Amino acid sequence: MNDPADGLRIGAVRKNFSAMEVLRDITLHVPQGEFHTLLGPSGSGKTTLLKIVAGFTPADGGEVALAGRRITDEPPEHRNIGVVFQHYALFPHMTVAENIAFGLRMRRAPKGERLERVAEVLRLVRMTGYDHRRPASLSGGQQQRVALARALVIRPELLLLDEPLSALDRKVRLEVREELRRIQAETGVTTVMVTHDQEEALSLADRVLVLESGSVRQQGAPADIYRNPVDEFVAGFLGAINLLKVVMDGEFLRIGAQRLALSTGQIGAAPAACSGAMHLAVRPEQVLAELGHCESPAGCVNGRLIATVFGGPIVTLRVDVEGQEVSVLALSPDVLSSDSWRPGAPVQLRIRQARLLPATGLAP
Amino acid sequence: MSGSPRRRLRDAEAVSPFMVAILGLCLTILFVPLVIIIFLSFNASPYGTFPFESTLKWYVALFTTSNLLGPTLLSLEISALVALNAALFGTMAAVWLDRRASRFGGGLFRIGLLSAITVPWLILGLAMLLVMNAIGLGRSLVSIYLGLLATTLPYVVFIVVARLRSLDHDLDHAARSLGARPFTSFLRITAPLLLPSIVSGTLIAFMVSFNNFLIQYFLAPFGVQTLPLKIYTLIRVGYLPDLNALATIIVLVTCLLIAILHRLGLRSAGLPGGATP
Amino acid sequence: MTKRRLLQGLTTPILLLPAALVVALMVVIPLAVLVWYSFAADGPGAPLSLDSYRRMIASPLYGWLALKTLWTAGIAALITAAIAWCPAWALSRLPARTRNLILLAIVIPYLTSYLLLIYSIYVVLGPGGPVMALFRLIGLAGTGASILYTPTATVVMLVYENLPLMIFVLFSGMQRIEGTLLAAAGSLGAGRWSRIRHIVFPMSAPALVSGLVIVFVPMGGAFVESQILGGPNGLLLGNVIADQMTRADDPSFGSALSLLLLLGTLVLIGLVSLVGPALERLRSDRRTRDVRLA
Repeated sequence: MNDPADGLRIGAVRKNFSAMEVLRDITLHVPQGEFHTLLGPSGSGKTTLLKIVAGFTPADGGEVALAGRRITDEPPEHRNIGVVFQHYALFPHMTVAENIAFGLRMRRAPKGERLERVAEVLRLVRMTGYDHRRPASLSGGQQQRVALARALVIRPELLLLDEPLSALDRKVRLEVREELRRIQAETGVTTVMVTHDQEEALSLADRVLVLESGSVRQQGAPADIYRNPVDEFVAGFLGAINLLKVVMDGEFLRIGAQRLALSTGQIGAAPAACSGAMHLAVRPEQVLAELGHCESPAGCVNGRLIATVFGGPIVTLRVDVEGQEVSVLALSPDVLSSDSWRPGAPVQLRIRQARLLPATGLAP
Repeated sequence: MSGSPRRRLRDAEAVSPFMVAILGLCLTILFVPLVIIIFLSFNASPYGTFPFESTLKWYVALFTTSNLLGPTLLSLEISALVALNAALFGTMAAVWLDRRASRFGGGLFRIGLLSAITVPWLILGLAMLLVMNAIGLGRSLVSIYLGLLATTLPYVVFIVVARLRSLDHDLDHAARSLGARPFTSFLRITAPLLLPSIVSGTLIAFMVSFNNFLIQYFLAPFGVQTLPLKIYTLIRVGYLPDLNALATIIVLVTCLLIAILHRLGLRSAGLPGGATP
Repeated sequence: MTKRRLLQGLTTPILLLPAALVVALMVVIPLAVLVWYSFAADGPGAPLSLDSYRRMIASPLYGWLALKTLWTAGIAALITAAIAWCPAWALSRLPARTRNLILLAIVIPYLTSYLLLIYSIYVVLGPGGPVMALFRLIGLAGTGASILYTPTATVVMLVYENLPLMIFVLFSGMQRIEGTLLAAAGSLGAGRWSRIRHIVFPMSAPALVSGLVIVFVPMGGAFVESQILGGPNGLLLGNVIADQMTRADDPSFGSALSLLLLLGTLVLIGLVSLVGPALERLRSDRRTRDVRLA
């Protein structure tokens, strides 16, 4: 129906609260049918952006367009956008069926069609049979399914999810997350989710936008920005990472007294600004730890074990490399089977993949 | 021995029998006068003297020969009118205060409302009379109505605002995103959720207005007597058996209203205790 | 678009208008007029003068009456707090069901017309009533004697009608004290009395102060209580103020006296709210000194 190039377009949106700049010149495009995530810490402006798209808050500048239609000044009731809220926002004085039918009533759909579409969407979220229950008698996960059904029944052109999983228990969260993925795929509705949980963002979305202090730091496919963060903030926000102070020394990187050689395949292209202080960013799972000393500086540094932290299937090794602490993940059986992994033991660290980032001290 | 520290911990959270005894004593003190009045309303002696001889004649007298009935009805009428208007205007103002007010305007309005219930009503009533005299209304039913409205509005506004504050604004957002216009959203979503607190506010306004002697004292036209004014003039006469009967009925009605308030969630009425809705 | 804005622009004043008009006409303007009248001893048209205030100062009667009123209200407020403290604490520790039931019961006298309460106290305190009978029984009073028509009766009434309110305020402050805190203190060896003294009392002190203020203000403006129960020696400033408006027909003097009462009330409240923090500072100074000595 729509040109897939359309979907949601946001152009140079700005927002100030009194003197504070909450959003500055945000531009993004969510093509028809895709699932995008706005990821950022609290105060990054992600919820404000969502409210501007939904029409709850006016923008101070910029444009919002949906399916080729400019909606910047439209009130929320004219936008045809489904919204799922963090705390469900189900109408407590209405039954499940009445909640879901509310949007259809507002559209003056005839009763027969209402009943049919409510039943259909209840099936979609697997809540058939709950029609006459009150929201208060449902569990958090069930309430969020109903909220999702209520937002979807109006066949919105865009689905907005505001931290939809954060009020749920961990186990239910995983369950609802899978449901969300399935339902989005089944309906094919263009979706934007706001979250501060990187795992959620990485596992659900086609594309992730990392927001910080009101501007987009990086956007791309989840695996891509996880592996190639543009700066320390993005690197740190997407998951645990080691930042090692290094100095460029010709072909080598110098860490304290040690030299380390990494191939272009391992380190990618070095950033343009190679002068000045640099950090070698290494994810804990990209290092292979073995007892003993390196044979060559090719992808290997020496360290000394400080401690092992047991965490079920995996063990975190805390290793001292030239006065800097490095966290390394290892499988528990590999470490626990031997007595030699004790504090003080010499350890060689083989780095599989790393990035060189300018040292900004902005890591979260 | 092993159980003793745990028992001591539980004891530390529990309340001592001494305190509970004082609570009982305090409740007794609070209720003795009311209970005595109720008791005496069934006593045949017109001077409250013993021996006790049970009768219902004072209740019969109350509805036939007593001069208390007229003032009671007048008080009921005025209070009902005041309470209903306070509920309407108070709810409107509460919505304004919660959704529309600027910080400055809202603050100013709040100070006005607070003054209406913190300045002693003796002084406020006197000041109201000065203004009513100046604008030509003087002591009149209109003045009483306005004065009682001013002293009951704050209760409604504060009760309804507290409920509005506790409502999730996302409910309104949700309704809007589903296609409801602002007014429709208010009517279909906000208003039903506010209803218990509006009813609570109306009941409280009714009781405050019914009992507000000082405002009525200063603003009632000469010759017009509300119930508190009537009691005030009669009380020096001494023991009044038909007043005992009326007091008993009023206390029972008060109990009923409190039970209703409790069902609506007393806490939302700004009073402690009770289930929250 | 513009139509919507216009509509929104219109609803705002319509929502506020009735309530704002009533509050302005019956609260704000009257209080302003009260101040103005106090300077208009020769009628509202004449030039302003200080005559009413001069008259107030000229006779020691009014200053003395103001002091007596504040003293009566203060004593009554303190007695109310003293009576209400233990019940409020017990209430805050009782199981929820019992507690709610008792709170509901206490609301009954709170919402009953205080003229009815005055009447019932009048009956109870009268020479033939049960209180005097009890006093006679234990030899505290002679036949026919009664505390009715004495200032004591006024205080009794003020305490009685404000007791529920004081219990509510204290209760809501004390309710926030977590039982685990007391358990922690108990586990550290604090007995019942020291738990009350070192944990409950300091933590509920703010509620105590606000309770005192909340009951003190209307007590200062008491008028019917003293008129009916106080007897010839029990008149308070409120009675004189009311008389200026009704019998003496001197609104200017009445206004000046009202302002005297308001001012006195404010000053006393200010002192009370200053005393609390000052005591606290004194105590913490002593504590640090103790620590240093140790």
